[in-house]
Amino acid sequence: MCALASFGFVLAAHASRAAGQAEAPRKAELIQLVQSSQSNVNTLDAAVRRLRSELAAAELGQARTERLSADDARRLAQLVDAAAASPVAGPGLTVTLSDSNNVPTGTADSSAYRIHDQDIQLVVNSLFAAGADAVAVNGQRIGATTSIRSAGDTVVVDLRPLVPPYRVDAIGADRDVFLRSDISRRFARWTTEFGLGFDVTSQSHLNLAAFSEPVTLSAASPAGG
Amino acid sequence: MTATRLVRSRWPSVLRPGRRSAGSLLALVAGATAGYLLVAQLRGTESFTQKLASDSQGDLVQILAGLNTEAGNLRDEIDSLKVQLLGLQTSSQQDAAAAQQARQRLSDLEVLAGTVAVVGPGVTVSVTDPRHQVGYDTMVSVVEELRDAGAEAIAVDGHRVGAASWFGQDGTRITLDGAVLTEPYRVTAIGDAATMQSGLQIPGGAMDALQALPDVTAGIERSASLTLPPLSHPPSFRAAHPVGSGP
Amino acid sequence: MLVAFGVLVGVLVALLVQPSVPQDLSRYVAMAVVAAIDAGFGGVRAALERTFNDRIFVAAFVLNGLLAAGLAWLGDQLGVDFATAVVVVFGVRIFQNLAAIRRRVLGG
Repeated sequence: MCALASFGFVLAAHASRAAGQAEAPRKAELIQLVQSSQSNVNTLDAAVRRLRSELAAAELGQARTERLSADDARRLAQLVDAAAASPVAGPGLTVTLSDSNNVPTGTADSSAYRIHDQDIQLVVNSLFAAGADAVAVNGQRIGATTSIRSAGDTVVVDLRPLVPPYRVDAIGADRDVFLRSDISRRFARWTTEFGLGFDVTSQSHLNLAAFSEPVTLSAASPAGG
Repeated sequence: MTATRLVRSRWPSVLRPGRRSAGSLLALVAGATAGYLLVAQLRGTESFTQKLASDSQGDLVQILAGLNTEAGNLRDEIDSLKVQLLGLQTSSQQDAAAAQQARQRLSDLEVLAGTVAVVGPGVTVSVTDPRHQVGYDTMVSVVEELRDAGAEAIAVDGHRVGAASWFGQDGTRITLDGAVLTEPYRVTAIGDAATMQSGLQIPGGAMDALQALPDVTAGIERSASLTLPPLSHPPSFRAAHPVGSGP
Repeated sequence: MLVAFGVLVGVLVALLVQPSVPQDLSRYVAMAVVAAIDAGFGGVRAALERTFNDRIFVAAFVLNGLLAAGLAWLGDQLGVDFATAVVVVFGVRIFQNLAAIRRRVLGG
């Protein structure tokens, strides 16, 4: 019972500390709005993934009932896979990037102590170069239209902010090839110089979700069709 | 008797021997897991709050606007998917709206997969770089910025950029999926031309970064119709296998 | 109470180890935590009403957490939105337990 009461105190203290970190009341409000909006987006995203997998199943089912050739059904499935629109699994690598814990206060070049969008971009690039079939950042699958950018200090994948640490999963990436890559070697220096987190772990089984970002292609269409 | 009584009173009731049963152990482990997860979850929230707190108000507004747009996009997508599902499930003859959406989805998949040639309006970014100052990482940045500005399909020097494409550096030369790119570089992107052009031209953006390099000139021009080739090697999985979602 | 002691142990270990929940799993963990908090308040209420039962408390604690996270995950796989239901149900229960506790403590 005392433990529960102290629980309550820990939670309350934590909440007020977090609120105190924001510089102005307006900013604290914005931060809360971002967090609740993020939670809303996560829920909607889960719904989209469910519906997409139901649709894929229904399409395959219909292909069977309409007796489309096994070839056509297979080609549709391959197209879905090639567009990163299906969940995949397999062995690979997980690269975890994190900001430094020892940031010198009040210096202008504190940016070297944080992970930037370009760091993540280059890690993703090098994982594909190392033979990755599929890559995801914090669970978000990288597709043909996925952008990794930043707004201020926050890294944003497509329109969604990322919560650090940044976990990049890659199925099929060769660990040795990746460790020899340019970005990997740069990080090896940066971990000692700035205390950035860079961890490369082999995984025997990774599960990557389908690319769930709603994309309405309004300009591009297949040529000659 | 006295000895055991003494022993009993010295130990807190929690740790008394004889109460160690599977149930007690479970209670301990359950409590520990709950406490552990609580702290882990709070740390995640705090780390997010800290990250957001170091952004400017303008950045926060931008992130919030992005998330709201995303929520809207996701809701539209949910509606569209439900219509398609209904079309497939209710009758063997799909109703017109569902059929149209299914066709659209198929053609979108082909474009995203990079398996077909694509046509549409867009921009061409031309970069002259006689002294090979542009590195593979600048190319990665340019592609990311184009995607951020809504590019639906991209190619460099006639080589299509797919979801799994990568840029490399071979000495002074840049490679795309292993193929060597030759200077001057032509990056073509299909999408909303105005958005892509202004996106690349923002201060500190890709155009600025390119032009800041010595002897490099970069220009961007709109086009009403661009044709991009398909990927020379269609994507194939060697290690990944689809997780069965079919019936 | 063994569970409360366990919670303290868990919190201490976590403060040392400094784990973080992956962004894509945080929904499920958050629900398990809410469910555990609900079980905690339920235990406090039961203790105040002198209906506390060790076994029921532990069972509720464990099962609630697993159920909440498990249902949310299952819902995502099956195409049903359990997540909202989980949040609503546990939220209501927490409020009810808190109200009962308040009545007991303040005699209201």
